[in-house]
Amino acid sequence: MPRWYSYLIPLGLWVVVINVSMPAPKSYPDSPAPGLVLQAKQKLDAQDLARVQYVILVEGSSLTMNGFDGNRVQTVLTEHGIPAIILQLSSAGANHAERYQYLKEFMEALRPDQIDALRRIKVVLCREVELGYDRNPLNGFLRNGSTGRSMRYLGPDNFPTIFSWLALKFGATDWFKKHNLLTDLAGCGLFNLFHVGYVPRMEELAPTAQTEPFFPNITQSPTFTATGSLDAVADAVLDKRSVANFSSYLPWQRKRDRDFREIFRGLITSECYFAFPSWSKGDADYNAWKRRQPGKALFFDGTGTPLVKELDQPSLWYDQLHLQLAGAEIYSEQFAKYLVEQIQSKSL
Amino acid sequence: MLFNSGSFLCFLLLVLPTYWLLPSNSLRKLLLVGASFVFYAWWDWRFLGLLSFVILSVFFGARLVLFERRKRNRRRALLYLWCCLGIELAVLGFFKYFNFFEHNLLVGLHSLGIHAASSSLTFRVLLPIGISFYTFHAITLAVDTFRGTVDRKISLLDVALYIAFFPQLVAGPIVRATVFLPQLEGKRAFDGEDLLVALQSIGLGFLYKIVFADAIAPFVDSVFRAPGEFSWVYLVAGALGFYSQIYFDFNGYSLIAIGVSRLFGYRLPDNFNFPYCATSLTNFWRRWHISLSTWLRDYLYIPLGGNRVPPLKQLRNLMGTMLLGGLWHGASWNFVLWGGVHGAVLCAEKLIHGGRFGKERGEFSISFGLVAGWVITQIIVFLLWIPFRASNFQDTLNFISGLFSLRAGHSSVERQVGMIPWLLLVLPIVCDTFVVRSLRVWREKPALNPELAFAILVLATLCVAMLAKTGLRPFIYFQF
Repeated sequence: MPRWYSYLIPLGLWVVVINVSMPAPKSYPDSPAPGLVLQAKQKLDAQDLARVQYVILVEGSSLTMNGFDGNRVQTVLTEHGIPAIILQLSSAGANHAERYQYLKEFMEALRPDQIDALRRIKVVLCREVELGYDRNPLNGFLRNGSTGRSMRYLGPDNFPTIFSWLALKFGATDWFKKHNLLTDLAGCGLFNLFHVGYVPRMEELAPTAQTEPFFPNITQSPTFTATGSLDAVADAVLDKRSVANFSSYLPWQRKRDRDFREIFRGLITSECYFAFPSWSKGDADYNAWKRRQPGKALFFDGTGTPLVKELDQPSLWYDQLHLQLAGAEIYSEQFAKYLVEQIQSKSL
Repeated sequence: MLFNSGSFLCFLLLVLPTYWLLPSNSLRKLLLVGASFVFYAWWDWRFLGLLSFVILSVFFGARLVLFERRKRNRRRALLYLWCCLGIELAVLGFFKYFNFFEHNLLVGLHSLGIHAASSSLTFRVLLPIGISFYTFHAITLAVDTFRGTVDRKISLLDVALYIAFFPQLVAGPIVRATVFLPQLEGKRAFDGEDLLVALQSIGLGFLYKIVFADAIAPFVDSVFRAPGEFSWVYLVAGALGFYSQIYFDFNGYSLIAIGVSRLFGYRLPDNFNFPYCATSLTNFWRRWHISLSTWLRDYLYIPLGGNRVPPLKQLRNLMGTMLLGGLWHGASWNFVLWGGVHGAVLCAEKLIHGGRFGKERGEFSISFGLVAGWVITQIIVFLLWIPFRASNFQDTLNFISGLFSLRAGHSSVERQVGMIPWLLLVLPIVCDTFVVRSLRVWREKPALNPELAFAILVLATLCVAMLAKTGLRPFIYFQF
């Protein structure tokens, strides 16, 4: 039998050379990442950063994609005399691992002079809070399976980060229960590590088109029925079990927050979390719990503003979680006012 | 159940430990027969009846032949043998060739102006997977019993296991009764050496199938689907792709089958010996699908007279054997053409050089004659894979005419399919011929340092994987 080094050395060399010279994520175009990054980058390129005071980077999932109109927020801020740019990176079904990839690719796309310019102004990272995604770092991964969308963020460079989140999220028995997820992850990871099928994918690569981060709903889901009032749902009294559950997510979330910050290498001057009111009790409870967490982090969910009352009409909603266009306008308006207040009070 | 599927892995993980934990040989054999039936039923449980029928018919047939032979009643033994062969060939003929003969009969009658076709007369017969292989096993057992090479009463369990043993059930290798049955005697002990050899064989088999063969398959499929749409360059690449794909697909399957058998302590014969190194077609057939070519030699060519008859009869027998060998692969004129041209070239080699062509030479002896022989042989093999792969006779003609007329193709179709990297066509064969061969054949006097050879193999595998389009595909030889 040939000795161990006869296969380990070529394997190691291959992995290093290939991964350094040919980044695997770029070979998966069916992820929203390249299109989202392109639109954010083009928006940034079009601005003279010397005249900008704030760059507000907003990341999120379908809730943000349907409910947050970055351009409207930017207009309100400008009307209040705050020169700001809103860069939005949001897409339906984007879990935290995927959003981590969006932000990484955005940072990689910046020119050195843009990074220098950003250092001289205030960069705020606004991050969506939602129970499903905050509960599970890879929420929806098995649904997307080994599609290009998930393969893009399962590059070898993201693996240590993703596994550290999972390690903090799962207990010993969970690792066994989640064997499907883990074997899928391992398969996808090896696939990317060795660049299987990389060349044909790169050959078929089409030029990237912009992906709009705000995509409002204009109809209502036929399955949506609102019960009670949004206000009542939001005014949650939390039971011990829910609190214990929500608290168990904290260790991996803290690590996630650190990892997100590290992407920006000190560019971020402040952070802000935001949530959408919800007709779902579980989500509303989670938002309420999140709002009551001690700490300096800013959190916007509309509490204390007219937002919840204004949105308390089922006709503004697509379903229990997602807004329609009219609802998105109200939400964006209120969120913009919140940002203005925070900026004026020097909290941001 | 494909070897390269998760269900087979689960199946194996269940059967293998149970097999070794069972206390007696009979229970182990019973388990293997049961597992083989499950394996077969996974594809289509309705054909379990047919498989059982083949097992029972050959069991009783071989018993009767043995009984009469022991009574030295050769004529009656021969009668029973022919009855048994008749049953097996009828099963094979009906399920594999009924549609073909019926179609050609109707076409023939139509050309004579007789319109015999009616929907009530025509019906489609579904081809049971692996039928060519397990009927050949049955024939082997009956003939070997008649010849006396199998000279004992064999239990139904042993016959069932010989016919239905799942690693070789659907695509071989075709194992001789004289090789397999003695292995069924006595309780086998678990052997670490067996495990190591089995894992090596399975590993190489999966490399050949999943990485090498499947990397080329999508391009080959596209070109052969509509050969009229492609330029000659694409046709060359497509044919070269199939030249490579069929070898790695079938050899991969055989290696996995051999390895899986070895996990249970059973040894199956090698099926390939680097056929693309052959310097003559005679030599090629000593290296390609060895279990079939030697079967055809021992159970068809030699009984017809072999080399002991006058030269003209030898050529007739050789041609007949190759035509039947071609038809064995499938009921289509393409396979008849494939077998026929192989037979014709073998006859030509026999006429020109007698029996000298197929003889093995030293691994390192190289001469102009050998190189020329290798080039000519491989060109013939390469061209003859075209009818083997093409969907019908018309496509074969289309493909070959396109190849030789240096025709231009439709650029839109070609753009859509995209040219396969030439490295992907060449690298696996080069790797197999020089690297794997140096590891497996030249053990005594390796041309390459084994560590270096292994390193090259690893890098070549990774390179092919990077160039390949991916996806799970069934083995080509399942259709035969």
